[in-house]
Amino acid sequence: MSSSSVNTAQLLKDLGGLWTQLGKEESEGSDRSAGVLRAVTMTFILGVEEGDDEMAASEALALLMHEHPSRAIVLKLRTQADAELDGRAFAQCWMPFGRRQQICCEQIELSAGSASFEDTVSLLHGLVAPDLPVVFWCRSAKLFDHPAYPEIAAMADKVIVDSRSLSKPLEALRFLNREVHAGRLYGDLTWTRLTRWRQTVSNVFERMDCKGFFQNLNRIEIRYAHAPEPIAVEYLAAWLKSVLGTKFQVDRVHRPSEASWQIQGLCFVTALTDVVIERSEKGIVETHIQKFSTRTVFEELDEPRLVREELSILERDPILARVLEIATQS
Amino acid sequence: MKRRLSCYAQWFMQQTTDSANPFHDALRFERRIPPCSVLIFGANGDLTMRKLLPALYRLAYERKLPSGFSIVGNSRTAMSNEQFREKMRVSVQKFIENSPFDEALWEDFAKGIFYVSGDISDPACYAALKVQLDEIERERGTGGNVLFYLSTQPSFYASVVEQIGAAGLAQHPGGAWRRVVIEKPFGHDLASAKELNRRISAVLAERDVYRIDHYLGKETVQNVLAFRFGNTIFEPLWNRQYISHVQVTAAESIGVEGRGAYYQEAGALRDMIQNHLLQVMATVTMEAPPYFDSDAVRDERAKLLRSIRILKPHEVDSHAVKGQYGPARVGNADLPGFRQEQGVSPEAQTDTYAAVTFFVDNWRWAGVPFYVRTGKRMPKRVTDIAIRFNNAPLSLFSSSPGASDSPLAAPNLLILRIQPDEGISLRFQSKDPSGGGMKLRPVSMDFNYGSSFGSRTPSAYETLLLDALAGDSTLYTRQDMVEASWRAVEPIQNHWLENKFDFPNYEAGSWGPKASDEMLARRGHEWRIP
Repeated sequence: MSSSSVNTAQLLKDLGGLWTQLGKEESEGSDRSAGVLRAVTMTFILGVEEGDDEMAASEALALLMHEHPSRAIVLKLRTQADAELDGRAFAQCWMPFGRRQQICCEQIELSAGSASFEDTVSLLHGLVAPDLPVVFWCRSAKLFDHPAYPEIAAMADKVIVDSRSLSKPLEALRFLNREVHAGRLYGDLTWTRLTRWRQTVSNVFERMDCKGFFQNLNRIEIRYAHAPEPIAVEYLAAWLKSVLGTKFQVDRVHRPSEASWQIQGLCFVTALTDVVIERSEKGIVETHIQKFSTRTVFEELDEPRLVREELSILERDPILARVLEIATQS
Repeated sequence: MKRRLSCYAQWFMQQTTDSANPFHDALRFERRIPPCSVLIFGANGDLTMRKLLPALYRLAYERKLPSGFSIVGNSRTAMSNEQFREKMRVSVQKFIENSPFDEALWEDFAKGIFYVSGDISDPACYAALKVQLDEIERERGTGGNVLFYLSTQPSFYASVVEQIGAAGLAQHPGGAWRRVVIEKPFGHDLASAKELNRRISAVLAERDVYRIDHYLGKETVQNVLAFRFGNTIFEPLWNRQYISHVQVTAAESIGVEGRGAYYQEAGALRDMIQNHLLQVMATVTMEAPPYFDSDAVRDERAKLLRSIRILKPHEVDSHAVKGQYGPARVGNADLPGFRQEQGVSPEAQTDTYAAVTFFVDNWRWAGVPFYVRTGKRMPKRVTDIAIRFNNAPLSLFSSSPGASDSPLAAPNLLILRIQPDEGISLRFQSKDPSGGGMKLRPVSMDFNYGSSFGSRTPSAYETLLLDALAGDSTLYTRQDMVEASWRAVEPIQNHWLENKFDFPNYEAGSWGPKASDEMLARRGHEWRIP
């Protein structure tokens, strides 16, 4: 499609044509098929940049579409700065296992170089599915820094970023703090990765024999594997302080390791006994409380799983807001 | 070292209950389950192996169980802890659905599994269980909280609970909770249900008795509440002014599958309608509770069940149909009739099919028939609720095949599909663009649970076990509900026991006896084909 023909009306017409075609195939379909089900529960905008693992991005999108059927709009920032606006519409269909009916979602792809990227934004206003939530997953660091970003973000009910992959993660946290306190909904996948750590800590303090534990708690150690200190450590420390007080001593201990993960463990140090939560090989986390130990599985976390968690929260997250406030004070 | 704790943490330390974990994140974490154990009576049985252990393992996998969580199995078979653990490992691996099995996690999970053999009628068995539970409390920090799961023959329920009480297991000196879960059937008639309750309530308070009805644990049944009370557009129509009638269907394509001896005594009315289907019907028809709380929701369900009109003996024949399948050839398979099934008497009078017309005597539903049917060896496995609205009051398109006075009229129909294709469909009239003129054609607007929420749906047992551990009895049946539903079916049950039927009266692979169609036809209605 040439740049002159990329417009909202044409893209929507193309989408309409797709459904007419799919409906026609349904009525003429084989006896093995029970037709096509059109499913849209939100507009999902995915911001990517050319050459940056596009395959992974489209695989993640396809997986998310299965669980959150959406009108997906992929905004691609081209490497060539003066690349003109291009766009196309197509359907993503799949046949759920054991069913005879295909489920189809709409997908629109818009791409442009940096110089004309605002053109994609002008089209977006007319392309979002009416009356449904709009979620923007900005997967590209370049797009996050692009002048068009605020306008795209303003269109969304929730924006998802991954601060650890941005060019200046701590700056990004400050930005998120401002946005969240201005009332905007944000999710940060770096924070989302910590959910199971936080849940494991919470489970420890569900145990009745830990009730008096805080009385003797001296300090907490966060052990991490790779230097420089990952932004996740900042988040975790801020979370612990949000519970125990901002002046509470939280030490960050670098324990060099070849492990692929960043957080190695947490140690709650007391005069009498320590509670240690340690990540071992094979994705298992062990918790040691005096003589008692227990295990938890930490499955490999992929992007769709993290985004899925964020998609389940389309409301203000007060704990994240408080943690961002503390993390950006340091 | 000087420490400064937040006000929240200080407040936490002052609490005597476990309700103040400051690390909890209600938005992202699962519900908090306090440290506890589950003691399963009948742990060597099918239910434990197929449903309970796979559900508990899955909950552990998803980090929904507290650390130190323990399971104690009991049955008569002599086994060591190791043998029981191995047996459970095999069954979890075999029966866990849509979930990975992680050896390392199992190793840790299995450390919390124990086995105590013993006869449930022997007091010594409970003394041994008490020793085991005390040891678990000490070693694994479970705080003394115990959920007793009675996966035994129903005839043992009352005596097991009495033995639990006599052994001092129903109370904990430190005030920890003790709860008991029992599986249906809750009695075999109203009198036995009352007697069961009398004996159980002598030991445990009603709030500690969890009567499980796995139908209520199904996501789609719970979604009926969300659909009705989370939206405003349907509730104004949800009454006798707009609804012509309601059909509840629970059909199974299979026969009795080796359970002939059991089924011969139970029958479809007792096995399905008295519990599952009346609960589903109550969920569809109850009033909105003032808030979403287990007592408030169950109060409304109970109120509805009490409003079901009790049939008089002379009304039973016109309001209920008893059926039993006979042999038939379906596809290229010759299917046996019920009386030819293993363990079934050739003279059996058992109902493998039951259809009942219920009426709810309250202002909302007065005069609206609720047709409830269930059967074995039907053409397919399906459970759904069809709400059929009244015809349009005026026939504007009288020459159209879809017009309200036409034989092809298709009034609005709302289908709540419970299984297998969980979802909701709304049928309405649309103009058919082909051929010109004002021709109407019924079309369907579908919401498919699987396509809108593709994530894994927890099994009913996962949901219900987690609820019981959290002390949430919303999806459990209360004694007054049990008694109300027995009251509703008892006249039918008695009438059927007193009369002899000419069976079989429907072929395997069909939608049931002719008499069932006639029952609806008398009111100008017909069964839809689900």
